[in-house]
Amino acid sequence: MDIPQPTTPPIGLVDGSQESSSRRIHVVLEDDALVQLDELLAIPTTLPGGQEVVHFGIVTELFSRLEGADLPSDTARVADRILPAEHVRRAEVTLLRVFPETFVAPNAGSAVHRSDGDLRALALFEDQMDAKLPIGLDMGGRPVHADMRFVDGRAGGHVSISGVSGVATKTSYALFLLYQLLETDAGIDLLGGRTERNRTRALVFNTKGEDLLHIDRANSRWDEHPDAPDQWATLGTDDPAPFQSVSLYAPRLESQSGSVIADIHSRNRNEVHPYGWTPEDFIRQQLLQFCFTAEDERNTQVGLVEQHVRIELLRRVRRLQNDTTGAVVLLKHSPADAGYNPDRLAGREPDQAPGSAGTIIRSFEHLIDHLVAMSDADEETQNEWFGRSAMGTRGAFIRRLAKLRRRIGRLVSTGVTPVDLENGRIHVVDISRLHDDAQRFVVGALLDKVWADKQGVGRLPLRFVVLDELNKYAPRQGFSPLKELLVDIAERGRSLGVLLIGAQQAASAVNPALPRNAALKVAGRLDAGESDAYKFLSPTLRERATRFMPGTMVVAQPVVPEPVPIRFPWPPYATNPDEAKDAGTATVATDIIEKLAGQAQPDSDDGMPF
Amino acid sequence: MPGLYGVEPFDVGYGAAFNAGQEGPADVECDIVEGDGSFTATTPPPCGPPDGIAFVDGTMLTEARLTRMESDGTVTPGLAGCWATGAVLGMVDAPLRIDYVTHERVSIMCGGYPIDLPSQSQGWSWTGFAVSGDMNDARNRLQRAMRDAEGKLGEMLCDNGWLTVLDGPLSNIRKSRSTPVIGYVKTHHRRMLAPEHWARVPELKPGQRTSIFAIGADTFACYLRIGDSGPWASPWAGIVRIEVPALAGLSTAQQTLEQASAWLPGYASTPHRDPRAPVNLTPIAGLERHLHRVGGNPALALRAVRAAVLQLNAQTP
Repeated sequence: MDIPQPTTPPIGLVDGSQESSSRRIHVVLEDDALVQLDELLAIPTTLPGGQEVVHFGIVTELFSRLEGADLPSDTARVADRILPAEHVRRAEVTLLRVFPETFVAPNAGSAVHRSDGDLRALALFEDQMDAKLPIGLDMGGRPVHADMRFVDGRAGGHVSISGVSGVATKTSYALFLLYQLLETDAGIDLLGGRTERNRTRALVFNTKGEDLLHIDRANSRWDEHPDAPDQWATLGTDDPAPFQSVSLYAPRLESQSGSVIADIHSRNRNEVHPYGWTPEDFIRQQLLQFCFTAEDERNTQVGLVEQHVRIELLRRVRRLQNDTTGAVVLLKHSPADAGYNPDRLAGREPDQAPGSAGTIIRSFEHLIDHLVAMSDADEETQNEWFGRSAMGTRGAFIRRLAKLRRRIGRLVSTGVTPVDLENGRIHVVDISRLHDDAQRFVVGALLDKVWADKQGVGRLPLRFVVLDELNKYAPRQGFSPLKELLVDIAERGRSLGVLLIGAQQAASAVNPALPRNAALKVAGRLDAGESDAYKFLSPTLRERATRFMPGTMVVAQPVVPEPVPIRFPWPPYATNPDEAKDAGTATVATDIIEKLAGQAQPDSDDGMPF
Repeated sequence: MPGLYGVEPFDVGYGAAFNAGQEGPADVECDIVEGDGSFTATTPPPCGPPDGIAFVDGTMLTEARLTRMESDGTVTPGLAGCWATGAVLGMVDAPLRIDYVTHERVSIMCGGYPIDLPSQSQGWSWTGFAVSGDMNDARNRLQRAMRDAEGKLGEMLCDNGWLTVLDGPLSNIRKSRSTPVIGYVKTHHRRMLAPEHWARVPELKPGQRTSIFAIGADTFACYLRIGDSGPWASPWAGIVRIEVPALAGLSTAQQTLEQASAWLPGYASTPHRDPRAPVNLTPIAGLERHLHRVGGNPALALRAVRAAVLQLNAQTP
């Protein structure tokens, strides 16, 4: 490939008063050059022997001083026009690349240009990317790309987004990435065309308010951001629109009447599926294990009891005769020939049984009542259910389970809708109103299903999972089945096409396997005390990230050796209920405004003093 | 009673500010021409610097000693060095800036004919001069080159309307000049007033000037204590002589010297940043530092002279 030539005049010279290295140089800026942080620069150099190379770098710090002023008090002398001094501006530039690859430092005194046009693509290694996914705009408003091979699992996968809640725009950026992948022409192409895109699924957990339950609606504040259409166009999307093919799920509203409606306030309830698991699903998907995910629980023997109970439930479960709601019957006696392999038991279609064959279970409540009863039964029955565990452990198991009665109860009953990824492309599951235990239960249950379905299927079709507050599900300390599942996904998910777009306030609070396995590492505003955990950022960038404004992120990716700060445009989809443009309401409101406007007399000079 | 002691920073590079202690043959008794001819010390009314002020100065450095063995076995000395001149320009509402910087690298041989040092890479080259006398004459020749350039620059700036302060006496300014130019003299080599007046000059308080006196027919001058040298200083520390051409008449000279006595102390330097404080003006110190940089690194200059001499000797059959 020929070396492109700079098209614009130099903006400065490589500083000769201090040494240039192959990693970092300083540039003395021309008087009229406006250079900002994160700008990409190019320095053509002729090596001894005549070979031409270009160094590419990114501005990582800027300096300004009065040359000739040696003491702080000299500044006032210069300002008072007593001491002559020259204002000098310098840029610290971290070198990204030498093209063609040659390990040399740029010559002191060389002219430095902006990396425009073809040079910019080289600076960001875009010539090395077979498939380029736009992942944001640089500070100059030009698109920054990621190598799709590191997004779709071929060479890498997973995205880790860190930053302080409220200002880091973690969720917004996760949605933006999802939008780039699933809704834009570039994303669709990169996913392998429309058919492959339509087989791709995204599972999005909503953890805050009812924010993400509106992404299928237009953003009502779109017009407040007049630069957004151009920014989207720069990213290759001329007509940005809300997410398509979205299924929404919320937990069942708790009620005494037994009715099954979604617990949601910011949308019409019939637009949202009340999700949950039937008693049959709960038992056959072995979801009992995800009831015990709190940090301390694996330090006790409760896990052993849980395992025993889980298998016993599988052995005894039968479908209730003439029932289609998912109710089950737990047999009075454990069948002698059933075996103890949970996966084999779970894979077997249960027979039907009349209610008289045992205990009918229609809800979580019923199940717990039954287990409590079993713990009070004769010793033989107890041993069948709970194994030969100590009384204390058994008691702890029952106590903990009883605590979950209220927390998880409404998620397990007859009549609820399972989260079925076949119903659309994007599935938003609200867990925001659930207790922590219930949130972990839902995340565990759904991820386990996604993970199980992809075993042995191959990488395609892809499954993207957007999950905030990862520290809650895979904390650095402790053990839980959910954490093990997430670590497994982080480590093996990319080859199985299960790709995690995870977010957390602080990377240090999350099991290190998760951020470590993420190909794209993104950070918004960071907590100053936490920034040590972000080794992928240079010290200057780490410090800067503590001052990022909302909407500014920094992205590190394997192909580009230095992280690049980016912004992303205002979304065309609503990211919270306030932004959701309700067509019906909007029309009414417009009518009222028009009527009011008709009554007003703008030309009237009433009230004017003259 | 013993006399009062004083201390001045010792700097071999600049010499003592006051060398006129003993009666010397060069001493003159200039007439006081202001008022009734009596000696006064007055504080001028406050006055800011004019718009369009220029400070002119030069630096010089001997970078190498040269020798030449003549065919008869005698050894002739010489030097290689560098001078630079420039100006600091000040205008209202703009920072001071350095401009009109020129420098020249020279070789000066005694013995009547010059040495032709071949130019070296990285931009080292020398203009050859010869003097007939000894090493002192060679040094004076270097200084003359600098003073000539200073004078030329000062005149040019005057012609362009700048009120020019020349670091040093006005001897290099054509005496016919009447436009504003001020000589600023920091060192006092000879007594210039009658002994009873001369003895009273140290009475000046900071910011005060003496009556104006005439130096010959062409210059008016006065002494000014430009700043406070501290309680430890010698009596003459902080005192400078400022002079203007006489041609424009006494009243113009009086106005110029009166105003300059008011605004020049504002440019006085402070001891913690300049050993020659307060007499070395801050803009001129900044200019000198810049001129030293422009002259290049003296160690590299010496290396270049060595290379040039080796090359020259190699050419000699």
